[in-house]
Amino acid sequence: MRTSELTDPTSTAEGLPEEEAPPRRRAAVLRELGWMPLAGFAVVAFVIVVAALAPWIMPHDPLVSTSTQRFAGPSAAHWFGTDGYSRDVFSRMLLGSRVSIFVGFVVTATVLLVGGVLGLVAGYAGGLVDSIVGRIVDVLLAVPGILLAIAIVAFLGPGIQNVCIAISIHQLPAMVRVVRGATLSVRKRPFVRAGRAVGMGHTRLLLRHIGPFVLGVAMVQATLGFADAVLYEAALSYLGIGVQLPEPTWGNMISEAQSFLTRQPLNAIFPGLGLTLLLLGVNFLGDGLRDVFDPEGRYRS
Amino acid sequence: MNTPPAPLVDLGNLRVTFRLSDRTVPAVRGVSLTVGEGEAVGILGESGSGKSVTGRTLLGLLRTPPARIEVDHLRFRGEDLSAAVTRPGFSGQATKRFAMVFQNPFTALNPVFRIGTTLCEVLVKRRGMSRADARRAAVDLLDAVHISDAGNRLRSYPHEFSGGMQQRIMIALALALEPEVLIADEPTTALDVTVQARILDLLREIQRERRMGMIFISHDLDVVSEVVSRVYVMYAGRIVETGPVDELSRRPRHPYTQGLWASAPRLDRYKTRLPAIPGNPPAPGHAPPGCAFHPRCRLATDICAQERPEPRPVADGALVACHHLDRAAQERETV
Amino acid sequence: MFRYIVKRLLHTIPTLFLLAVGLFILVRVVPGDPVLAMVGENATPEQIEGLREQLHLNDPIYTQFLTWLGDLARGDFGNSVQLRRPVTDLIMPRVPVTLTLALLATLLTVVLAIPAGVVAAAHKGKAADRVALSASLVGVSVPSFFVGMMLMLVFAVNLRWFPTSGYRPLSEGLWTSLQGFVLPAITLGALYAAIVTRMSRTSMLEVLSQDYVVTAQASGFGRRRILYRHALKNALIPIVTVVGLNLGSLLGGSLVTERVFNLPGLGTLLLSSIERRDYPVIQAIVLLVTLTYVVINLIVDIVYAMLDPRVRYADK
Repeated sequence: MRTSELTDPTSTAEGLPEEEAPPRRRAAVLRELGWMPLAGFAVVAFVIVVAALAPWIMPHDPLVSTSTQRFAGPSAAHWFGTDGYSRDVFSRMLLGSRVSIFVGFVVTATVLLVGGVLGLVAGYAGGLVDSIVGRIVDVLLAVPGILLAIAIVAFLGPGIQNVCIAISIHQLPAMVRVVRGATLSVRKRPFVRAGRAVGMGHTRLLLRHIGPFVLGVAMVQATLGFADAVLYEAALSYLGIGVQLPEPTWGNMISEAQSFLTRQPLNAIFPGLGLTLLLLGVNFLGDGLRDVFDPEGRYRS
Repeated sequence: MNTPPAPLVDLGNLRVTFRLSDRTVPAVRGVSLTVGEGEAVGILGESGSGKSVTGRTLLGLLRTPPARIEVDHLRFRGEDLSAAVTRPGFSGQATKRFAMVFQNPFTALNPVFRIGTTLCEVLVKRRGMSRADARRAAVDLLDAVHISDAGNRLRSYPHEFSGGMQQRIMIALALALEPEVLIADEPTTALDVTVQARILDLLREIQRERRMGMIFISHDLDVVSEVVSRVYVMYAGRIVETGPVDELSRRPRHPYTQGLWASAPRLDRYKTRLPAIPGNPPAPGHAPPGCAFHPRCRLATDICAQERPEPRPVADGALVACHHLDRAAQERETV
Repeated sequence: MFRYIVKRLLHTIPTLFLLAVGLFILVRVVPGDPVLAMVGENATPEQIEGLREQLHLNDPIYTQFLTWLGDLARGDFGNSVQLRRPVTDLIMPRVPVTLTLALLATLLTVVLAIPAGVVAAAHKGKAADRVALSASLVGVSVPSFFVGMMLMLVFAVNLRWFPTSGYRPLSEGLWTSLQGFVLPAITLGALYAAIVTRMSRTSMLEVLSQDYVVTAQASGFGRRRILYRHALKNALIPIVTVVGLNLGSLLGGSLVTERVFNLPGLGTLLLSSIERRDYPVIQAIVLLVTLTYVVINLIVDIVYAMLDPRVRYADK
């Protein structure tokens, strides 16, 4: 009963009534995805390599004046021009990319680990543990959007470490929810019950049998979290409460450039484009992963 | 000139192919059928046989593309619709003649509209009634499908009705179009057994009283024989046997039909030596060459894998597509 | 329906209470002595002791908490330490600015994004769909402060259509006041428009695959009627939820946008308070915005229940 003139042709098997629809195969899904996840992967990989090599490939010292001219436009010596302290914008961007990538990875790993464990335990154990975790998640979700991260940084103080903590706490509830939901749905499956019946321990069951099952959806959530972390670090640094100057990040570079927007807009445009490109890349990649691992969007929060 | 009157519906050699991203799937591979004035015919087949696609084609519900529809002819009371049926937008013309009752009443009614809204919309927009007339007609329709307190029930939402009641409303909705042919696609499959019988009674009553044509699509032989006078048996997109329902149930000629009959639990024949059909029907697009049934057929020989059997007339307007009719008939006699 | 609302209300109270506890604890786990941080390093011991007394820091911890909670319940958020003014006086003039920004951005989202998503779904795979999808993917990927700055550069600095920054109160005339909000509202709205476009498209596609859409086709209705009458009303139910829920994060986002355009809203107050380590003000803003968000969620749930007859009658 799924045929319709208006129905989307790719979602089910292109207008065949459900019972007569051939199953979608993973290979076909991958083919359908096309170039976008690949392009996303290429961009992300490129930025990661650049960030890793930054200290060795920076043409100038990003922290001191290396030109006689302030707010210079792009030139052979200074590809992206110079800023208000006549520092090399290109070198500063290379150094700044390290912050984005670092925060992205640290937050993603933290959230995956902490949120994953909390979600697994809450979903598996149920009862009181689940209620307590659920309450905490509710409270964290009650503070809207970036305000939670801002509030935490406000109390902890600025700096890259606190930025990571703040963004991790902000992302935790979504991860817990996703993993908990997936765990709940797996817990009732026969192979888990069978494991219990033959006397398998809880830890072993969680790690060996439920964990791998949940990992797919957790990875999708983590990819989205990576983009979120990069964006939030940039926003916090832009607001002046994240990573502090003079250490360059793309966010605080934009903030610094705003005061001189009329004088040299390129100083804001280059880091802004860098951020946009990286975020587009991660989102392209995330969309692709999501289509493969969670095509029905069951566990999206 | 003494030709018999043209049938209500005359469909010749329908083929429906779905073009997917990586292959094409023939769902219907040549179906011809007729429905006379006031006649109820059944299409019997398993899932994937193409029976639903056939019904949907007649209503213009298939999206083209990905579906591609070809026919030798489609005539409705002699009017030629052969070209129209293959084109997008056929549903506008089709729904002046056909209406459909679907399998799952729970999802087929729009949950955010009151029943009255749903019924009146059809009456006003499709039949050109005024709002007041439409309301009266809607009450009459609910009466006709035996829903009591119709006036008040018009204000209810679908989820406030039971499944059987919702199917009655679906039937009323179909009748609102004043169709000349009612297509019922597994109309009782989703319902409780006790409710099924009453819905079948209702369909039969309505079809007879209104002298409508009816195409009754089902996988269930017993259900079909309750309502129709003639049956088309479909397998892998083709019709393998057709004939009056009495003739078919007394003397099923095609090995597939025999198998279906045998596997159906029946009170009057509780012991049977005919085995159930082994294996599963092929998925659309994976039908074997020759006679599509041959891998599961106990009578199959080499010719069955090589040559597709043409439908041959046997008796009383019955047609069978099988290379081994004689042997099939012998086996039947030994039952 | 009434019982449903009461049930939802009862569910939000513990959440708000726990949030208050969390905020209360946060101030007390701040690295270093918050009092010292508040009064500065040159304060005399008397000043410090005075502040401790004023903040009830010498009371037992549960008394402190209850006092604070009692004050909150009466709408008293305490005093700003550095500015020596009641927090309420600092916050109140800022509220209209943030609220105006958030509402304008929402309006923009609703007017642009829902139709865009619906049209995209109706033409899935066609050009209109691709444009809407790409635009929304770019929309969620560009940082909003960067969007704001670029809008400012083009439309305020170069074209001079709008003021670059600053706020004109409504008393200077509706148009003058609105002009200052145009670019911020577009900035803030762009991100949410992107999200809502995607959600609307998904929701509409989901509805279009439902059986009752086939029923409507089998009733012979035209494509337009099916799309905009039969499908849209169903699709709108989840869309309303998404728009409502985003109104909350929109409040969070407006804090950033205010900084870009230097609007005197809650966001700029929050940031300057963070720089001053003015904890009572920070607490108050976080609580106020969260409370608003929670109330919005509540309203969204109620509207949802009113839109969907299945929920509406569930309690009966």
